[in-house]
Amino acid sequence: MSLSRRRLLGGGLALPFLSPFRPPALRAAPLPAEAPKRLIVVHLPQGTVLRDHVPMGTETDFTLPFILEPLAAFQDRIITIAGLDNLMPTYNEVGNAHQNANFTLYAGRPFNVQDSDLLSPGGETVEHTLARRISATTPYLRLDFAIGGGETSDGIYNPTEGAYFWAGPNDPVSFLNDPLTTLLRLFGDGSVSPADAWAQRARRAAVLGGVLQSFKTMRRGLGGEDRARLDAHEEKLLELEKRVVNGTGECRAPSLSLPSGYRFGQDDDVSAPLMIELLVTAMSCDLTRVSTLHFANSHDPTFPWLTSENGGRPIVDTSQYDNWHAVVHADYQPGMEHVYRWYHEQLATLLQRLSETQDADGDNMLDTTCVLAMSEFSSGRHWNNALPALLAGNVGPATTGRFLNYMNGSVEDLEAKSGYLNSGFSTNQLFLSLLRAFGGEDEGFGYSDERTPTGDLPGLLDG
Amino acid sequence: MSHLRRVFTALGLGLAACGDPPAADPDDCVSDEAFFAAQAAPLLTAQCVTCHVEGGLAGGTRHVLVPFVDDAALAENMARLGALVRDTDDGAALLLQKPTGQVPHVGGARFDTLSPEYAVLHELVARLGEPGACEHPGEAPPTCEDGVIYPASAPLRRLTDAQVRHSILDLVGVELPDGLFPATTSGPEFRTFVSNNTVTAAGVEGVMLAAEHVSATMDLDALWGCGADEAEADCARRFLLDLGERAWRRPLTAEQSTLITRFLDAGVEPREATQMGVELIFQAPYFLYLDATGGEAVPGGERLDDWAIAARLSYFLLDTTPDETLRAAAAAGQLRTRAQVAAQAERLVRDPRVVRAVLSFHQDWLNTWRLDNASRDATLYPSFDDETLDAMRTELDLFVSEVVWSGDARFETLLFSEWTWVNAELAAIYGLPDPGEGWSRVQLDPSVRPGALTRLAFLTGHGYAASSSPVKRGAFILEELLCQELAPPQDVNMDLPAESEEAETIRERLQQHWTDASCAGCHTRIDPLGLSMEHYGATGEWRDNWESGIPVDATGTLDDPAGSFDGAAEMVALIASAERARACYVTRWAEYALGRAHEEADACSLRVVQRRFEESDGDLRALLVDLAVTDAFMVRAAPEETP
Repeated sequence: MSLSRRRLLGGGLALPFLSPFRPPALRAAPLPAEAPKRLIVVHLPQGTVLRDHVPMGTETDFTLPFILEPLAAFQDRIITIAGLDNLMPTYNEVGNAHQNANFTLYAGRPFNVQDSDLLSPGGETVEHTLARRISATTPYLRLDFAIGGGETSDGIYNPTEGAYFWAGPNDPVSFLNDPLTTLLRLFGDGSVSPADAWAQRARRAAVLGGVLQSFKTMRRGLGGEDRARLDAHEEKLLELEKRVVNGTGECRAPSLSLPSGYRFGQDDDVSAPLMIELLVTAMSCDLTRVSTLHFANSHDPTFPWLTSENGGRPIVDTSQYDNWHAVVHADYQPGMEHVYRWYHEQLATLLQRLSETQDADGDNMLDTTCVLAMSEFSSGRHWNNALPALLAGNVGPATTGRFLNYMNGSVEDLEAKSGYLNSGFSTNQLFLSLLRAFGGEDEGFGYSDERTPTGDLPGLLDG
Repeated sequence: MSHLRRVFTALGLGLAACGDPPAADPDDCVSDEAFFAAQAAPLLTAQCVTCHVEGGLAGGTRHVLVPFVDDAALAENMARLGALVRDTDDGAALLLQKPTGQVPHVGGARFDTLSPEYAVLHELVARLGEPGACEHPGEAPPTCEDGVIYPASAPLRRLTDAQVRHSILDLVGVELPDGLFPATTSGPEFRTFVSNNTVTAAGVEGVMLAAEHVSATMDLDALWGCGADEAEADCARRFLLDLGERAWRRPLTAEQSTLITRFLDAGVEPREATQMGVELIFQAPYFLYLDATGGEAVPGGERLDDWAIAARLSYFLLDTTPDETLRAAAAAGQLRTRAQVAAQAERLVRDPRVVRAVLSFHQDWLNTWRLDNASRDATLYPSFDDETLDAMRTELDLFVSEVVWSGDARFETLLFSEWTWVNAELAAIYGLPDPGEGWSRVQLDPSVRPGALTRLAFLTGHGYAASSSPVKRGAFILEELLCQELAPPQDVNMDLPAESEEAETIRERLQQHWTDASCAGCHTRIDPLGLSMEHYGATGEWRDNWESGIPVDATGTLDDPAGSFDGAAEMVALIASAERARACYVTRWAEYALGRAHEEADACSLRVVQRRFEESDGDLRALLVDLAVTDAFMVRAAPEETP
């Protein structure tokens, strides 16, 4: 395609919409020196086996149990937390157990409206709040990666029930889940010359300027929710425009090798290291400061690569259980723990790759990144209480290498009460601590009333 | 004749489900007690008591009844209800608002405010509020009156991925390849719904890449159609303004024209400026969103203007941008009356492209998204793979196309036709002889394979890796054929008791479930329907025996419509005998057409179409035309005030 660079540059014509290179409009507030630079949230779906997940011992003297064992090399770089309640489902009147947990966890709020046809959280999720604060000047406000989740024509996964992360009510986040699409989208195909790439950006910026203009005129005639919908779209477009105008900097694509017959929707054992590599590379050259990584196959996976770990028995014995969801839904089924352990092996890979990689400033990425990993349940039996969570890397002022146990009794006590044992410490307190670890001066996070405590998680940042 | 009787007689609806009617003459006053016994008790038994009873799903609420076993129970229940009748929300009794879903109700919306059930409940509440009054006091329940307009909401919604592809092909002759434009989310809701077409950060980039693909691959010379004496810049301008008007589906304002030609006006070389203009046109919300611009004001709202009607009609029926005839009608102001819109709709339902919409609807209605990630146990189903799934989808599409396009397009044919299409693999699953290469039309045994619900896509989608799923299948019948909303349990242990000596079959395991009152409320309704389809395994194959070797027992009964059955054919026949099944099908089509769940304000629009669907004996083409001329489709409620 031929493009007249001189014309686009102006070449003597006054073209206000064709002057794409302007300074970034958004500037984040300076962070405290010790605050982490970036955030990665890893979501591990469908609960866990608590008795193999909660460490034994004291805050500083503890051993990692079977599921967390793969993280042993990083024991001094993590904070293991047990016993948090997500109380938000108790405020909802509609929706099934998964929608209730998934749509409320990171939003810290009940549903936007109590209408089963319009389920959506009451606000943006916590990592989005942080993205707006710490990632506004990078090319991407956030990047979201999924492992599995089905194969759509555009290589992008839009969860329905498993939508954990939201840019706002009715505004779910979508995920890159095809390694090849991800590679092309984030790092380009490498065949375009710098001059052509520059010209393409100039042209795109000009077109997007016109598109944004059309949003402004259309917006005038709209009311209420229609306008909000259009505004949400426009906001994404502004992000795209900013990226086009400012460029994405120098970022070399990682080399990926895909085995033949690989299916990105299903072969999670292959996808996990690939998506981790793409994520770490993207963050190392500062494409974004906030990422999520989400194991999206949570209902029907069969985990064939774990059969040998499980003594040759399939993890999902289809003569007994309809699917993985049914397995975790039942009382303890031998073998389940191997899946949750495998998730933590992938988490260890992520920490390993961070620890081996320098960011654009030459800093070690693990030293400058805060990683949060958690599930929406403490058990696949839909338990919203006693959730475990894990923080790793740079947690601001918090000392790592600790185990913080907020549980109200033992795992056996929790089992005896079928999960109905509140600790009085909430996930919203954890998220407030997270905001503060990044230097935020927030007073609270999410919904609170007399049943849901405000304040941060005692002992986390000050310990 | 009482007011209520007049209303429902006028609507062609009986109160048959609710026992004997109240006295036809105000002089023959029906006592409260007689009304309670004859009408209220059957309604409450059918709709409320399963959950609102001690130990039931709603046993912990303030509204707990006792089973209607004798007069004492009747009196006790009326006393209990009398104590609740003054509980209100916004001035209206919760007893009326909860079961109609106007305030959140765990049991879901049981019926709408125009239903015979609601009329009985309304009278019950009135009588409880003023005991002994002969004619029930209070405001009359809502009715649908001729000549009154019923505006409902019309949310701004993005076109589906397929609608964008079809439009671009029709507008500039470019076939958009997969992998660029963001995919519409597939899930339990219809693909046209707003929530399946949100634009995410990754999606907005896909829209840009798609627009760039179009501008780079379109045949510019052909599209320009430059006259011999025409300057390139003039062709470019003419083309862009014409495309803008067609793609944005209404005449351009001066501001819009300037926007579209801004690159030309700025001196960019015409070819480049055209490409950039095309990219702008296809990324603009005027193209991407189906607008509902209002025209003439009506009480409570406004009629959509001609252009908005043209676009709605075209995307609803043909899944693409309006054609020249529709555009001419809009330009001439001839899409205002029902007759005008009906005439266009009649034309469009005879266009072969209507099959696209019909297939989309039935794929979504029958949940083919459930096939997306389906896998089957490799030892039980060694030849099952992604190609099997694709073949199942193709079979369903061919089946539906045949019923609707070459067949009589009747609802009953959809549910009972014994014809289908198979390739070699599907023939094997059906137990038919190998038909050889390609697809063949075959006849099945109607006593075993009646209609869409016994086709492989539905049965496999509502099954598991190694077994059938009577619960998924039964829930589908209740929710999608009878429009009974099932409230998903939030805190209920849904584990099925394991296989044991006492419970060797799925039927016995499910029945053990019923001893738990919190399960029984829904499962005593779901399970018999699903069990009637137990002759079909996890991929829809026929079986005489369960896995354990015990002969399949596919018998069951249903309260409403009342009857018993043995096997899917009898079950489907019973369901299909119910007027509410046809009414439900209409409701689902309305949701597809409107791009949102049905709401209270649609009730009168739906009533009209449901009645006409009865009169036409379930004619689908007539249904599509009727939907297009409802208030729900043609009128919108006044938009919210914005600052």
